[in-house]
Amino acid sequence: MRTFSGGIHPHDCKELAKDKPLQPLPPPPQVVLPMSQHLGVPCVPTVKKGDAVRKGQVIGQPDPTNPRRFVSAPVHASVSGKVAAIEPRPTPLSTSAPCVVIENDGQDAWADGLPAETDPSSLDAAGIKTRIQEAGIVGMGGAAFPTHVKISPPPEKRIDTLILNAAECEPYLTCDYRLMLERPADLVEGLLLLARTMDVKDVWIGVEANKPDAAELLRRAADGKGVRVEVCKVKYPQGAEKQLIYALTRRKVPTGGLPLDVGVVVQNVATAYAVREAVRFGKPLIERAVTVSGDGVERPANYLARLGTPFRTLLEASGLRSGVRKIISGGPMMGIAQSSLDVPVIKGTSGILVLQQAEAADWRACISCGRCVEACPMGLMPNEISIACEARNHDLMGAVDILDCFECGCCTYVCPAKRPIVHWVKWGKAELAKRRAQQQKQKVG
Amino acid sequence: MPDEQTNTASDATPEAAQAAPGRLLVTSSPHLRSPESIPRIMWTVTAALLPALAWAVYVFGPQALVLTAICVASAVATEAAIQRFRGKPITVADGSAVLSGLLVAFVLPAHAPWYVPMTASIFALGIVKQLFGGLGCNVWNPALMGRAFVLAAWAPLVVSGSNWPTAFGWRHPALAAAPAGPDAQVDAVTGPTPLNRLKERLREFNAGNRRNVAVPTNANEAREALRQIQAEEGTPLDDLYFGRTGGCIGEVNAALLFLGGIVLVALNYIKWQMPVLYIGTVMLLSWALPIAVQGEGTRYLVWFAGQPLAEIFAGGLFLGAFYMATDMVTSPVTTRGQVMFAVGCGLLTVLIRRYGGYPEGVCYAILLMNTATPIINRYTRQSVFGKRPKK
Repeated sequence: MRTFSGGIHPHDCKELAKDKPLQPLPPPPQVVLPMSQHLGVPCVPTVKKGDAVRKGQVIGQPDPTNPRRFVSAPVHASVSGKVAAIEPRPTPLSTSAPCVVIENDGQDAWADGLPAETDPSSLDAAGIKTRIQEAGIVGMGGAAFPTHVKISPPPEKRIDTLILNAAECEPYLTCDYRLMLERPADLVEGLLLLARTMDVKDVWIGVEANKPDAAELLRRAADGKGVRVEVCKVKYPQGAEKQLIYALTRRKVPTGGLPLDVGVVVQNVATAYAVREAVRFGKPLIERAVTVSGDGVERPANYLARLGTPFRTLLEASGLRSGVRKIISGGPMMGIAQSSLDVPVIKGTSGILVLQQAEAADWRACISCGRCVEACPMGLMPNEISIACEARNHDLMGAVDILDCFECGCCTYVCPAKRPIVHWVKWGKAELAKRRAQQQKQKVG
Repeated sequence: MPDEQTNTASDATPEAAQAAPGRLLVTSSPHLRSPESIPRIMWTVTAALLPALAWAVYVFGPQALVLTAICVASAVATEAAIQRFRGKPITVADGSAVLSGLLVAFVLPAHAPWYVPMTASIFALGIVKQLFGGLGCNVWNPALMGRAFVLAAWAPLVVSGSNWPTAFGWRHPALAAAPAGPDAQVDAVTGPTPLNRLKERLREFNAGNRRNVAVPTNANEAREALRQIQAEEGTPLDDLYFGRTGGCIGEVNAALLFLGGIVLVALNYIKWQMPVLYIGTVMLLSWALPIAVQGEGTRYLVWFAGQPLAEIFAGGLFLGAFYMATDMVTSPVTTRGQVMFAVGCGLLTVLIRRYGGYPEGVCYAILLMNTATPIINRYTRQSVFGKRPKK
């Protein structure tokens, strides 16, 4: 079966939420919309405190004076109401970042001037791209890279392959799976719209083998449309971009490179769905599917939640248990532990995981068992990385390919000495960046 | 509803990550960990060795148990004492000191006087392991270094005296089947190990004490003479395999060691390549490499005349290949490195056994390859996904 080398087989824990249909969550009384929910240039608010806003209205745009403003995505109001505050708030990505807070007036009235429902076949590639950009769509698998940038490769890069990442390899998460089950035709439509923007003929859908029903539905929906639905081995991180590309096409993205260096663009399931909503119905990205799961909630579920909805609202809807130890934005392998329940759902929030058991384990010296080396999907030597970082040896840190690590967590998962390797990698990357900046300064000076 | 805790800064080191009880724990991803742990590995390997220990008590008598207890107790005490002295957490509960102590016992003869196992164990844990920084930092396999140390200190007690039980007047009936030399009674008490017997007899023969074997005058006769010596001094294969023979405590029963080894391979605690390639290399080379047979004035090198099965079942090879060479800390990290390590161990074992001064080569072979582990690691790093080879 198609796969990559390395990786791990944790129990996927998807049984908790996989049978829970997507359920629209009522808009909360207040939404908190961070101005930076994506990779790239942050937005600046286009509204003031006290302004009346309506659903779908742009409230944040990339700073027009920033030369790199193309790499950004506008933020829209997810409810109608009044701007209650523009201030820093905690977000899933940082302890404090500029946010626009909107008091919901309960009207849920759409803004004027949004594009009307259109037959997408009447739009050309540029028209589709414009709608995607204006709708503020970003990669919704977690990395949140602006989608219109991803589908605008530099002219010298010829893209011949588009892959829909339907692996959803993170344990617990089922929101992509529910979209596949409930809206397969919409996903295929969104995917083909993306293909049209780049004039790509080779279109794939990569599904992990633990979702055969979803693969079958997609296959039926894609029948006769020139889309290949391929089943990949169940193995984490099958949904990592480079690993999925390799599993399907046998192409290896060069180190430090991007998928477009091998002629490939990968899009996530939820992104394809959002693209279809934006292009056909003119709807900006104001809600997304979010899985709430883990042993810390009574009723694991998959919600369609408005962006800006506080985690607290989703957790209360699912029956938050007492004695919870850890709350994670995203999946258990790459998600971010949260210190507050008041952070909002943002464009990249695929799930909220609530765990009752979590301990900061004591770690030991590396015993050279080699498990991390076998598990690393990037062919790195995580043992050497961890030893270099633990010793704060910057020369060694620069020699062990830290920058090729995408922090999938396989090494740390398998480590019998419980070494926090991913944490060291994050720290090491920051240290090396600091060092490079210093060196550059010295050169200039 | 849990209280809230401020985030740790994004560039905080792992040392800074902690959480007060009852608050939300904020640590780096991944938030899932496999149930595998150092204690689980160490205790499982220890358990895999227990059948072989039981057999040792069966053939060598309670003295084997006493010696093992001395080794384990001194190992644990040494580790705990040093960790306490250094103000480090005491980690003897993780099973690593117990396992090291057990392995020290396994490479010593059952009736060595009490101070031999104790010295071996203290040296192994104190000097070889803790002095280098404790578990994970040692360069050499502690148990084998313990043996090497006492072998240097009290060679006669460790090598030639390594045999049948005398303690408590206990003697197992299976030993009645033990091969009897001309001096059966003495042999049965302190006879040489199977490997030693053959080596000694060959040395005597080459030195001129031919006994009943005719002096070879050509290559064919040399081959014939060797065959005769092998037949007279050889131990039946089933005795070797099932441990009805002399030797160190843990090494005699290849069958039980093999069984435990299979379990470790199945649990993925060791890779099959290590024992298979180590034992395979010994098998091939001990069959192929030449044996010198002294004729009248001429020395004949007899090729392809070794006894591969006897060589792999005798001595400490199974113990070494499944439990010592595979020691995670002192063997290479990648499978490719382990393949090189295993073949190197096999080559050195045969060279020492056949051409070196000792009858047994496993101990020094593994220790020498331990020394080579860092350099093997350096040249067997796996290649980064998507990285083009440097020009």
